[in-house]
Amino acid sequence: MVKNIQRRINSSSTGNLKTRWIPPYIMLTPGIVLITFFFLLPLTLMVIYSFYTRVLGGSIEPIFTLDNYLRALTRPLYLKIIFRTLWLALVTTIITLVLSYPLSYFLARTKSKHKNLLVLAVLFPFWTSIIIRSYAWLVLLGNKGVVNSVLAGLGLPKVQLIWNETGVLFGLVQILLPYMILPLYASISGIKESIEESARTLGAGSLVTFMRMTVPLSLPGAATGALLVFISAMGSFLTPALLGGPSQIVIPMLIYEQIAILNYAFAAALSMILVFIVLIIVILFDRLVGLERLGGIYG
Amino acid sequence: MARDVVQYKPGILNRLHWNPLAFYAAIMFMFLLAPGFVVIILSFSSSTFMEFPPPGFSLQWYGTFFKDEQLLTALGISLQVAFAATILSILIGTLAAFSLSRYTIRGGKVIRLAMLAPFIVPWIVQATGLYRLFALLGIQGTIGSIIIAHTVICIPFVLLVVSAGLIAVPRSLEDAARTLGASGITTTRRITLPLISSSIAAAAIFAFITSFDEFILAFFLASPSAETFPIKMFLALRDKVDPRLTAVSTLFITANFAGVILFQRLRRAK
Repeated sequence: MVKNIQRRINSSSTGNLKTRWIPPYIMLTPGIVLITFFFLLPLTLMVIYSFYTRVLGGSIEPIFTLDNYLRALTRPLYLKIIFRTLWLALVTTIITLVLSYPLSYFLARTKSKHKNLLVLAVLFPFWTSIIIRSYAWLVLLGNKGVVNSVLAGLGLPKVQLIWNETGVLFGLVQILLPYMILPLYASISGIKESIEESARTLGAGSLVTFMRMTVPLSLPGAATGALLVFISAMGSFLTPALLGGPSQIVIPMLIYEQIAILNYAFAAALSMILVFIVLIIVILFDRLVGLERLGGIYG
Repeated sequence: MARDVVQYKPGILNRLHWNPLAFYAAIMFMFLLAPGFVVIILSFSSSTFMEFPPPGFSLQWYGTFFKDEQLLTALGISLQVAFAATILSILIGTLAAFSLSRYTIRGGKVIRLAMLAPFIVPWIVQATGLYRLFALLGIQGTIGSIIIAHTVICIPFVLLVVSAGLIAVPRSLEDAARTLGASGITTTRRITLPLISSSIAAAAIFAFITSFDEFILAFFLASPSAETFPIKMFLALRDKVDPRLTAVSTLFITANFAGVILFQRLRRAK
């Protein structure tokens, strides 16, 4: 009996329960099957298709070619779209970072008893459909929208706020703000106020303390937020489509367009370019901050 | 330190307990919440145009929504897809979280990374790949294909949230149960599962809303007979500003709000 208990304690403390009721590999199988067949397989298919040739008449043949990539990376029209996508993602990331920092700092440091409610208010848009939020911006910024009717009421001239870069940026920034605020808030909350206090005690001014203590310590949070915002902005289809219109075509819209005209090989190559850009950002993040930090935001 | 930045300045602002940072936060909250409020207010407007403030009160947009069979069908399909994707991703994701965080498995890190990857690879790329795969398999345009796609994108959320829940459960509790003679299945059922049930529920809400709101995968994979609600909304919006959608949006905002409150409760209960 004692031996039996001893054996059980030993086996469990090594992390390998001898009497598992389901072997761990069997528990993992459904997940592995799902990811392999419906995530890794389609990605592999796309890699293959991106090197296929589109022959006259429109069908795609298994003849190796680099044309799809060359087309995307040399034609000015497509290059412009790729750079516009990168540019919008970059500007969105910078604006959200600048806007979020003071707000996250406030949320982390406020002594308000409504703190939980305030964090909930940040989360709220996060959970409201992107279509609805883009729609709301149409209502607010449109030519007959709220902003313009207020301007007209004041006797001021109309401003064009949608169907251009401004519209897309408004939408993207508002939609992606929570992705930046939450990791920043978590990161700043983790900085002990005593650290800032000791810097102050040692004679640092409040600005110096903020710049030399708070900002560096919150960098991982800022990097996590920047990664999430940048990746999401790169992949967003709805916001540019609804608020930017035909003048603001980005890679995801181009991919859709190419599928609609049945040029799957080119759509696959464009997808791979998008994945490649995202991958570079993710690897960079992993080197600088560590990917495991991403796990923290939903836990 | 913090109090210097959030310092109360003398004067009127002080009496209101306001300071520049709080003032800035208030403006940001307006920016975050204003679009939602505008939509809610306009949903009760008596005008066909997006006048703001609305000229009068009316429930007409709610009436037209509940009479539109196409929209209601799409709503039914979306609910069906979201339910199925939630149940599948919770089952698969929870099992995976169990084996990955409770056992040392060879290649466990790689498997975990592969299961988290659908969160990082843009959904439009996954949609493009699945579009071709399902065409080759001959199941394109079915509701099932959308359910599979949504299950894949929900797995990372479930894995993250349930793993975090599992890490919070001390191993010693399970060991104690086992030492006292409980079998593996009893320990899991009576000790571990009850302790992580709030995490599982939170993950389920997250998965449900993700699937219900998801547009691009459904847009690529759906056939005209199996269009989800976001697709119908997108198509309606692409052409014109449709005031009926304010009513729909208000209903969604209310439902999502209930979801968020529930999620917060569960997180705190954890």
